[in-house]
Amino acid sequence: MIRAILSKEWQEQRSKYIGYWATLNIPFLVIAIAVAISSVARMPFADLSNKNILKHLPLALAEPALLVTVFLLMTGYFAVATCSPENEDRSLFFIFELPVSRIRYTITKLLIGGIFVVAAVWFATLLPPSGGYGMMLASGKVTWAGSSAAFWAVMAAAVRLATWCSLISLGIFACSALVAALIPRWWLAALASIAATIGLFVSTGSFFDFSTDMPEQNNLSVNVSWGSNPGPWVNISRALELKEINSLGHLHWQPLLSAVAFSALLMAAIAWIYQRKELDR
Amino acid sequence: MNAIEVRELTRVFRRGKVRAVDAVSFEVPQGTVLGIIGANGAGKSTLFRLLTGHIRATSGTAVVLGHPVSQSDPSRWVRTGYVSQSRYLPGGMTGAECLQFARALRRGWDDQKVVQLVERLAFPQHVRIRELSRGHHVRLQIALALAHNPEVIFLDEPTAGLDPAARRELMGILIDEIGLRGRTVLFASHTMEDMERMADSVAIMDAGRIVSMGPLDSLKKDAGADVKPASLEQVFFQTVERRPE
Repeated sequence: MIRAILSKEWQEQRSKYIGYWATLNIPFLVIAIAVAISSVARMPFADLSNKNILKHLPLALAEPALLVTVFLLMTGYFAVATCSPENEDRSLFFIFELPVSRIRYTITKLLIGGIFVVAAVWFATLLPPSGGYGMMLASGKVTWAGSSAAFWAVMAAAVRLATWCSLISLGIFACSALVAALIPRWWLAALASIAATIGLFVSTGSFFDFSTDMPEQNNLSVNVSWGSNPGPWVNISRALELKEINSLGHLHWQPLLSAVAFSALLMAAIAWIYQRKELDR
Repeated sequence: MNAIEVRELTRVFRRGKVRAVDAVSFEVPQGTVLGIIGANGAGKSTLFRLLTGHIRATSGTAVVLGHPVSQSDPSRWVRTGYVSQSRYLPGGMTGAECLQFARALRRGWDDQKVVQLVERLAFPQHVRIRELSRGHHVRLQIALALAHNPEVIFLDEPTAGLDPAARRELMGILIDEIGLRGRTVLFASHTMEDMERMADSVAIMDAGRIVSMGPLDSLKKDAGADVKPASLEQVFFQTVERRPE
């Protein structure tokens, strides 16, 4: 059954899956292209030290800030775009005419979407630091021996941030899928999903805030300037210390498990709604 | 033995204001074809949706092949097939993809049969379903409904909206497919000619109720107390017009 549903999703919705995956990686793509085509955009990799890596590579950890703000709206829209059509055109009932449990179908479809969201968020979080480090290595100005410790510290932070971002995104995916199950018109469901995402962000934002353990960022400033001036586009006042990197995205199990439980609860609610859905016209 | 048994089946909408199906009871013996005729809004499609489990009954029971119809029991679809009047096949898939998907999830799928059906029904397999004409859409629905050799088939106005030539051709295919194998069929149509060609018995629905039911010949005989009806159409009009408000 999983194979059949995967195949159906690919046949019908591949543009949405590819579009969502691509959108999450747009920031990295834009920066990578800017660095590739413009000499002034390049970082001043002057030595082979961990310190140099610690100064520039953490910039790649900015992606999670996007993933838990503007890209949450994208995640909500992705859920509506993949769940709403079969509700709106009633093609769900074609599936319900096959000898397959409605609950099993619904849970399988939601898990496919949810796992995809988690995978896309992990990829989008890990690509900038690993890709950025790869570009630094390729530039020939840093070496693995001189910088791997800093790289691993940044990657460990990225993994923690990916855990946070993926579970928060999963919650938004489940919430928007519930909205799509309740509202048959896709555009109404999309608007309701935006409202629900903003509502959840405002009401539960502090509970899921993963930046609270970070020490005060003393004397750290990042200036971005592009245009005609000859200097580099990004100027960072000092390198981050390892303890600052290590405190980034510290895992707190209560909010993380709550996000998982919230998603599971909403998915069960969607399955219940689909179980009772009627072909009304 | 009865393949379908319906007892006091009722479905109300709008908090009881509309009784779409009102205390309907009937039985369909195995291997027979029951035709259902009625004006638009008589409750035919609601009755089909109740019998296929697409909607829940407000009261009463429906039993198909010995099992009560329930939304939570998908196993009924192993032995039943349904051609709906509505279009709800997944528009983003092609006919071939749709058949492939159904094949993966349907027990009893008969590959050889599907090849024959596809050849006979002649619908474009590699065009997206949303781009299919009404006639081609119905043909695909029929292929999907018959691919697993169901014992009970529900046909809700399968020829509605087709031109006369397409209707006649499709009815020919349906009669061949259904008649030869002794299946139990519940068949709704506005076309009396189709009904006379296909049905063993006929039920006439009006305002959610079955107002008359019986073998075709006996209905014609009963309705013709003062006149001699020559066709099912006359039986229908006489039955509905005689009924007290």
